[in-house]
Amino acid sequence: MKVGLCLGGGGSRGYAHIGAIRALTEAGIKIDIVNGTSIGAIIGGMYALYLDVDTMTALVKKVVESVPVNHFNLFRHSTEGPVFLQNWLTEAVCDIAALNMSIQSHRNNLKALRVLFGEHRFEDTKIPFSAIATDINAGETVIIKRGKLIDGILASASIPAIFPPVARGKRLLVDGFVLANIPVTQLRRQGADFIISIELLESPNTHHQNGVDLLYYVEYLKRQKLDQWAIEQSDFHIRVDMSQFDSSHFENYIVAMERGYTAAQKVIPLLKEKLEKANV
Amino acid sequence: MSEPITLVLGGTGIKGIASIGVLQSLHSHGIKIKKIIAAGISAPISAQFALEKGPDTLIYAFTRFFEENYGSLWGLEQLSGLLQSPRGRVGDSFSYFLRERTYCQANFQNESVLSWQKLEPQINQIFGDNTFSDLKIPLAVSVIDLKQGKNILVQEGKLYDCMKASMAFPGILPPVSVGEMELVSSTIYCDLPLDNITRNDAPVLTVDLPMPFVGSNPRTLLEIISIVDDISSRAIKEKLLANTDYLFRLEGMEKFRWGDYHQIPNIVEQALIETDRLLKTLTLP
Repeated sequence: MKVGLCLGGGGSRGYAHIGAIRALTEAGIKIDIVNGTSIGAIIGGMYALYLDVDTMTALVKKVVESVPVNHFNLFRHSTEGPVFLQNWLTEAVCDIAALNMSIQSHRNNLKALRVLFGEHRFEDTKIPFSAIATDINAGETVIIKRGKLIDGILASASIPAIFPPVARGKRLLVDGFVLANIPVTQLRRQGADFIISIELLESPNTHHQNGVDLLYYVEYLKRQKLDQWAIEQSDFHIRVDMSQFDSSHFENYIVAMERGYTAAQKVIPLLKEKLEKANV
Repeated sequence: MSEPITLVLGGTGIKGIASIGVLQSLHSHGIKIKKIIAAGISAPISAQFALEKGPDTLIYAFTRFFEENYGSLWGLEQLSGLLQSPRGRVGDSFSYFLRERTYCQANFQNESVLSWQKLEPQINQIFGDNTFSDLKIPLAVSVIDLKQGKNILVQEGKLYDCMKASMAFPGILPPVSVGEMELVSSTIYCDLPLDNITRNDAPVLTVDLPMPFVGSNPRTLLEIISIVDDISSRAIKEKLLANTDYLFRLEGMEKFRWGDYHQIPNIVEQALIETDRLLKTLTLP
C-alpha cells in the first residue's frame, strides 16, 4: 500500500510543510509518493529529491538569505502609503495591467529554484513526485512529472497576474491553485492508496478597499470550496493555522516550519491509528 | 408531470434575461413550480414572474441601463466581447488598452466601474415596497454575504434590496448593505445558484446558459485574471450540478455575450425555443 503526501499551496506559508514533514519522518511514517501545488510543489520536490529535512532547511535558509523572493503585490500595496505614492502606484498598475501579462518577472523565482534543484529532473527524485499546474488555454489541471524540476515547479508556482504564465508546448501554465490547490485527486490518480493532505489555513482580508480586494475575496471563497472537496477525498488531513502569515513574505520561514511541526505532531497518534487500520 | 419542481435560474450579465423565455415556456406547458432559486438578473425576472407581472418593464429597464452606461462598460465588455473578437489591428489594440485601463482604474480607486445612481430609481419603480411575502411563488435569491464569507439564500425582506444585491457583480456595481449583511451577486462564484439546494427542493430543474470558454492565448493581465476566474467558476458549477435532478443546457446561447443588450429579444426567443424543445425530450415527474 502506497502512502502519498499531498502538499497544498499558500506562498510563504508553505514552509510549514517542511515542519510537518519533519514530524512525519520523526514518527517513522514512510512516504512513498508526493505531489504539490505552488509552494507545495517546491517543498514536495525538495523532499522527493533529498529525502532529508535538514538538507531542505539548509537550502531554504540559503535561498532566503541570497535571493529576493518576496513578491510585491502591487494590487494590494497600491492602497498603502502616502497618497501621492498610492496615486503613482495606481497609475503604474493600470498601465501594467493593460499592457503586460504580469507585474513581475520570473527572474528571482528561477534563481531561487536553481539553488534548490540545480539541473535535477523529475526522473532523479528518490520517490515519485509531481507538480500541479493549470493550463489556461485548455482550462484544466496538468500533472507535471517529466523534465527539469525547475521548469515544472516554476509553472506550478506562477501566480496568475503576479508572474507570467509558463509556455510548455501548446499549454500555457499558471499556478495549480486555480483548480487544485490541494491536489488530492491527482495524487490518487498516480497510485497513492492512503493520502495525507496538508492544508495551510489563511485568513482572508474581509475589509475591502476597492473592487480588486472584492475580486480577491471571491477568488478566495472559490478556492476554499474547491479545497474542501479535495480534502474530503484524502484519508488523513493536517490543517496548519497560518492565518497570521503574509503569503508574499518569505523571511519568517523558521516560525512557519515550527507551526507545521507542532500541527503535525499533535495529530501523529491519530494518523498512526488510521494507518494501522488501513494496513499500512 | 404532476409533481411541482424547484427551478434553478442563473446566468451571467444580460444573458440571465433568457430566464424570461424559460419561464414563459414552462408556464405554457403547465409545469408547476414550487420554488425558484435565482441568481443575477434571473432574480428580478423571477420576482416579476412570481408577482404575476409581465417582463416588459424589466426588459425596458435593463436595455436603458446598458444603453446609458455603455460608455462606462467598456471594461465589462472587454471581459467577454473582445476576447472573442479578432485581434491584430492597431486601432483595436489602442482601444483595447484604453478599455482595460478604464476598468482597472475604476476598480483601484473605487469599488466598481458603475455606481447605483442610475439603476436604483428603475429598480425602485419596478419593485417599490414589495416584499418576498407578496410573491405567488416562493423565491430564494442567491447572493454572497461578504461579512459571513459565504453564499446565502435571501428569502425575506424587501425585494428592492435583494434585487440590487443579486445584480451587484463585483467590479461592475458596488456591494449592497442590507442590515448586518454586505451582499454581492453570486454569479461571479458560480453562474448557477446550486450551492444551497436541499433535499426538500427535489425534484430540481436547473437551466444552464452555456458561455464559451475564452481562455486561449491571453495578452494582458486582466485577461488572465478573467480566464482564471472563469476556469474556477466552471469547476465549481460542474461539481454542484450533481445536486440537480434535471438539467436543461440551452443550446445556441454561447453566441450571446454577457454585455450584449442589443440581443435581448433574440436571447429571450432562443431560450423559449430551447426550453420548449428540451421539455419534449424529458419526462419530468
